[in-house]
Amino acid sequence: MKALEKLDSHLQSRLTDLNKLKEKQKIIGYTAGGYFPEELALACNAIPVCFIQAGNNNILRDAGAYVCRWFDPFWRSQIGYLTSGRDPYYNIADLIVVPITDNHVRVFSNTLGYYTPEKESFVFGVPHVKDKLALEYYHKGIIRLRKKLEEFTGSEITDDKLRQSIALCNRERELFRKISLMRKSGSSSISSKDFIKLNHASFLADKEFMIEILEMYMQEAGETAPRTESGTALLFTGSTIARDDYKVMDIIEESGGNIIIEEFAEGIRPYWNSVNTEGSLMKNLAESYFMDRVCAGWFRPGTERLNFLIRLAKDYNTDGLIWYHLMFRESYKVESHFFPDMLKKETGIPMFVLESEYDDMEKGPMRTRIETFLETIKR
Amino acid sequence: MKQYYDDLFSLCGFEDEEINNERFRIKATLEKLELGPEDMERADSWVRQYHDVSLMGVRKLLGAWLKELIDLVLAKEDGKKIVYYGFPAILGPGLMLSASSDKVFVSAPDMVLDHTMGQIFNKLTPILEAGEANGLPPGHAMCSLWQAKIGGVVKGMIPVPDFALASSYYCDMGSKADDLVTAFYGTPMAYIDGIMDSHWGDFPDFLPERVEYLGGQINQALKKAEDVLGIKIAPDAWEKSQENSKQFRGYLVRLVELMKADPVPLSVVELELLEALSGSSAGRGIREGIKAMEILVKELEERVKAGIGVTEKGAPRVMVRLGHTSDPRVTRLLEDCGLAVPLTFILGSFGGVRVEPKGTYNTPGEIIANYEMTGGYYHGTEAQIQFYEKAAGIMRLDGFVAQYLYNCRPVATISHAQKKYLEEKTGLPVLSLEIDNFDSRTHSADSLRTKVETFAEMLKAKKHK
Amino acid sequence: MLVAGIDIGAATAKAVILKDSRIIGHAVRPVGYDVKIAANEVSREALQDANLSISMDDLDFIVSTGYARESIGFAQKTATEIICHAKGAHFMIPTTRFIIDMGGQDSKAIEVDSEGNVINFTMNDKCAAGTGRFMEVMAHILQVESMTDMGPIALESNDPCRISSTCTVFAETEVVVLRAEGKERKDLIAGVHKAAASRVFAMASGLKCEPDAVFTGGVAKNTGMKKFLENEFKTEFLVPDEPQIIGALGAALIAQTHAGK
Repeated sequence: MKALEKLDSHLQSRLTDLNKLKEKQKIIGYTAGGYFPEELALACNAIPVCFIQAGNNNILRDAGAYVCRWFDPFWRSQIGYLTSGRDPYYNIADLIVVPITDNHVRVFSNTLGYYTPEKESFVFGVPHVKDKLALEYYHKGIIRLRKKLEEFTGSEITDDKLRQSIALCNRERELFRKISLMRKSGSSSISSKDFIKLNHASFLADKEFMIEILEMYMQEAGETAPRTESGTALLFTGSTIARDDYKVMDIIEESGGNIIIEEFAEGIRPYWNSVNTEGSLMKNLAESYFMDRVCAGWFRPGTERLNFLIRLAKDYNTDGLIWYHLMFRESYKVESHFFPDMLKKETGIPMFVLESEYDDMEKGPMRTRIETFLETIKR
Repeated sequence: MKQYYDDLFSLCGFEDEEINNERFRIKATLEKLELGPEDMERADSWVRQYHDVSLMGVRKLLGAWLKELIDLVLAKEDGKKIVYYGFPAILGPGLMLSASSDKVFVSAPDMVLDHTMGQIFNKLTPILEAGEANGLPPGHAMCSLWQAKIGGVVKGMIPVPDFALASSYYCDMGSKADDLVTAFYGTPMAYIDGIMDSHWGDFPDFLPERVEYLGGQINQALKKAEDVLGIKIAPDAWEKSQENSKQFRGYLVRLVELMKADPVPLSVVELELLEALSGSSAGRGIREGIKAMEILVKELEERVKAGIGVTEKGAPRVMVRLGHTSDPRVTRLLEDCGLAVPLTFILGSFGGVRVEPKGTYNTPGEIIANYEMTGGYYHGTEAQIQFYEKAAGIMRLDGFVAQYLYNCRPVATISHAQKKYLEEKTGLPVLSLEIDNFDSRTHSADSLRTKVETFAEMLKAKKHK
Repeated sequence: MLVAGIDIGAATAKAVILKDSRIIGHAVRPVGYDVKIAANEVSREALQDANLSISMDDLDFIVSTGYARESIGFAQKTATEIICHAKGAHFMIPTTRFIIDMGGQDSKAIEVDSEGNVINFTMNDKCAAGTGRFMEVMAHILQVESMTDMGPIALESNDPCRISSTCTVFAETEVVVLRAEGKERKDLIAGVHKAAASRVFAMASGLKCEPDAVFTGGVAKNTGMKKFLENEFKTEFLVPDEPQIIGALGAALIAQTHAGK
């Protein structure tokens, strides 16, 4: 599709472009997880970029000099990229913002603070339960973030500017939502990999450009004939799907699986809800980014997400669920033990668990297992 | 009539009268735990070999753990409403519930199992394996404390709780493992949520809203406990709950002073036994522990006066994070290699780093939260690392054994940084040691020996230079 | 003064006989099943090499090292292999400040002072990657006679394969897959070396690698590994004669300081 080609070429020159833009605008790098309201950066004329690269085992060796092996490889990758400079987005960021969710993010934040004090950073915590107190804490966190961004960029975030940014980001979320829903019938021209790649691109691309691309893509996708073999309809979920961690998706597609809906805490933009543009905008951001979005696996309890998965499985009439988490992300590992029974009871569909440490050699055994799983649930 | 368990219980500080009075309960407990005469014999020689039973205080301390175990195992039969809390514990809420009703039994069951089924009976493995088979598999760096807890419940050795206070402020594993108990048994729970979002370099500053948030969460948890357990928190519950722990902590402060002696008068194996008790029991264990401490402190004062210690005078002095909760051999290794351990991280918190409070608080939750924050533990990684740094001066240390629990993410976060930090700040040698403080199957004393022995030789050579 | 050092490692037993600070005999043999038999045999061979027709009981002092050091009944003292490698390397190359020892089941990085005393060290945790065992497993799959013979082949490669696995068992699978894909043998062998060297480099992070850096242990006989370590550490590594006996030599040197006391 032309939209994707155009997007590729934008991303290829993005670093060069950012280097030029850096002369006049601040670049705000932030860590994955969806708790950084990009609206705040945009409203003070800064450029948000999310660190979403991972999937290569090599970088874990670099991280090994800073932390032991027993952390999620995505976050160890971030430590590797941060300290080695092998992800240029870390080098280009003027400020690094870390919304701390669980201890895998905290280890990154500690490494950032202790080993690279020369990089300016800002952290704020994300509570692990959803209630009034938690919402208030998150709200206070983003108010501190707003103040920090204003000071750092020297640009005041007015209500008008913030409202415009929210509208812009709402448009992006709406487009993602619409594109995602186009796949609901199980027969569309959109592959899951393309959808996820669009997400990844949106973490790096210029916001207005990205919206144009999404509009163009949606139109093209609507005009393109559905892929001939729709395959087995799958729900694909897990902790993290990083840019360049496409191995599992490739194997699923090559084995005749058709992912029609995904749910990931890190790597996919929360697109189901829009932020209200009336009333207190900061409160609206907190409501939307913290309360309204589906919680991640490290929330206590994770029931909201698990029920959401059950609903998705029913709504999308999927044949199976593939649960893909990264090694040592204990919240997901423990849930993967008791969720299959819940899912089976509620929907009758089977769940299949995959785990990765970004090793190349995982490919062979993964393929065998995925093919077998798909064979057992073939329609 | 004398029974097969009398000798062991007597060795563990039980008076004859206590054994006679509690025969029925002891028997019922041992049956549930699948412990027979052979286990008693093995435990007898294990305790004599690895615990300092020449000290009556130590024997009584082992007894305190056994009494806590009996009450835990039989809590259902005793008609108690059972509350489990997660470790590392914010102890206050559990203590308050315990102080509010005789009908409530509050415990950290994993720690109790570790210190009895591990430290005394050397039979923790089957429990851990049951935990591994029920949602916390091996090979994934799962917390072995939680494996013990889940394993104990699944095997029917300890009762299913009526309510769980999940330790959500510190680790992610604890709450998720508590979710397993809910998934298996429908146990209601409250998450004591907190947020460790200190920015590196901010110590000792912190955000006041962190105390307010944690305090609010504790208050909510207490309210939920009232509803679930059908009790009312007594107005004087906070004061009452502090009576025992203040007394115990008072002895710990005296102990810190005694441990400054050269030679160090008490093994770190026993130090761990008493430190852990203060965080694991809200009932008989802690009450008996106070009695044991009273005896122990006197015995240690005598030892110090007489210049008696567990290692040679002049032995290099190191600090470790934590003794081993279930296998005394791992901790004993340090002393076997000639290292004196006057302090652990936990003991350090009774005389170490204090953070200035940022307000005065009235609700129980906020008082407890403020206590945790100003104590440093909840503050974050940087505060925790400062304990070590401070301890170097207080205890005239020659080095650090900077352990990191490989399967505890909040601790493992400083796996590498602590060595660099402490070497730079104190100029002392640091041994970075990967360990599992709760399970010795993967990190046995033998597997750690070469590193510890080399480090000990290094320190000795440096000291004699 | 006649002393001995016995090093019973995971794979091989080593013995060194020292007379007045001079090596007069040494021996190396596989451990086999029984460490005590291995210790007796390697000692006998070392005495034979020294042309001595005496028994170990006739020596002035014996120190044992290696993972089975506690099991050697005829030794009067034990010392860890880390301390022994430091002593031994310093004896052979007095300017030694940093040592990489790659043995059968573990690898170590050691910082030493000007007198050969250990001042900092690190050792692998329960992982065979970066050890002699890892190299031997790979030699077997790639059908090279021995681990040492892989070295020169590795040096022929200009394009080492990437072996990413963090585990020896998985790395074995990975090599099998790469072989099936038709990768050249020399590139595979070089990839194995690169993977092991980078593992050791990561392990040693946090230590100061200052010259002279010395490479000891059985794996140091592999010339390819020396080169790959040099690439990782960006420094030259000196390899003493008979790098495999450095631990036993260190033990003998310690024995010398205790003899006659």
